[in-house]
Amino acid sequence: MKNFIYIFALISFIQAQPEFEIQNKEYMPLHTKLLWGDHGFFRQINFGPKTRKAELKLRVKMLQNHQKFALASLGLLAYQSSLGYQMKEGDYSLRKNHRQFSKIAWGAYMTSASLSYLAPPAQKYEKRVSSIKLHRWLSYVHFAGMMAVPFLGQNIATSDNYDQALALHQNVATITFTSMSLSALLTILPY
Amino acid sequence: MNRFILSLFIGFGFSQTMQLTTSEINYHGSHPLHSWMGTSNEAVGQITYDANANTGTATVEVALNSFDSRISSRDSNMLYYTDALDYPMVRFISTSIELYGDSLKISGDLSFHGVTMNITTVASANIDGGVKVAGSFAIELSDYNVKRPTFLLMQIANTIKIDYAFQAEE
Repeated sequence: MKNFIYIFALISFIQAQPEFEIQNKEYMPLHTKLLWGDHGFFRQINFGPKTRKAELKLRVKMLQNHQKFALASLGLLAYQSSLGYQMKEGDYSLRKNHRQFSKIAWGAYMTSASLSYLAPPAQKYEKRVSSIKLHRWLSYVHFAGMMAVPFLGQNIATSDNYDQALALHQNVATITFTSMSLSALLTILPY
Repeated sequence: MNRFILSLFIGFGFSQTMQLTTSEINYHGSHPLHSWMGTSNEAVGQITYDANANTGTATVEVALNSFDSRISSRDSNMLYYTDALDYPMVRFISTSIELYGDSLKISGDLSFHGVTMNITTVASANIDGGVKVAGSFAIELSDYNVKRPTFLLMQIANTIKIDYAFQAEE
């Protein structure tokens, strides 16, 4: 009887071997589709791992490092916010620190963003909204903010309207930091 | 009721083979920051009862990529860490089934990630136009040589609880 069961299991195993194509490719994020889709840029230039297994391994590594750089960026941005508020209160001695840390924070953030945006595709995608999808949508907000904040910071020194330029820099930085914090919090939700 | 039907099997020397018609398998994972559940309704298998030997058998298998935890990125990670490209299926083959009233004590070999381990699970059984079986058990990822994923620098728990409910009919 046991032999029969094993034979049955073997036959059904052979019959049930699943396809390991990426599931629901149509819901792949646009940036991933443009880079890693069937006709994506990296496919065209034959760049990247040769097998799906190696792609998944690379993806996991990139996303693990994305988390680490993102945590570092969040901490650095919190510190930057603190320096910025103190400068607004009149302590201009912090200007040099604020400028130096802006480069480190920006670099850490862009490294983190690159590790996420450039990662090979997941094994499956879905249409429904999830916390990770909201996390990604919010990333478009803070990515745009991070692109703008350095220019808006430089603009303060050259603008004809100091108060307006400062308010704009501060507001965009606040939106960026808030959206990034929310984005981080979303990742700890179970669904 | 169960004993009545079983006695009928024994009385007529009847061996019955039933295929799974509906199934639900849930795995429960946990991490210091959250817990989650992945579900598959795509298990296949069969349950037999051999009246002469007064014993039964069960085989169940399910594809890892059929589990849905409601976050596709997490499902992808699960497929990576379980090496689902190399070991796409989880398979259970019973080695003994003992009946205690409406309960079953089922022992068998669970094959997952290229490792086969003996497990025992207690299930409730209901025979009414087929067989309905529901129960749970837990596995340790380390027993199956599965590397545990980390999230925000912390690993997920080693223990994965699994609950299941099957219905089988001839």
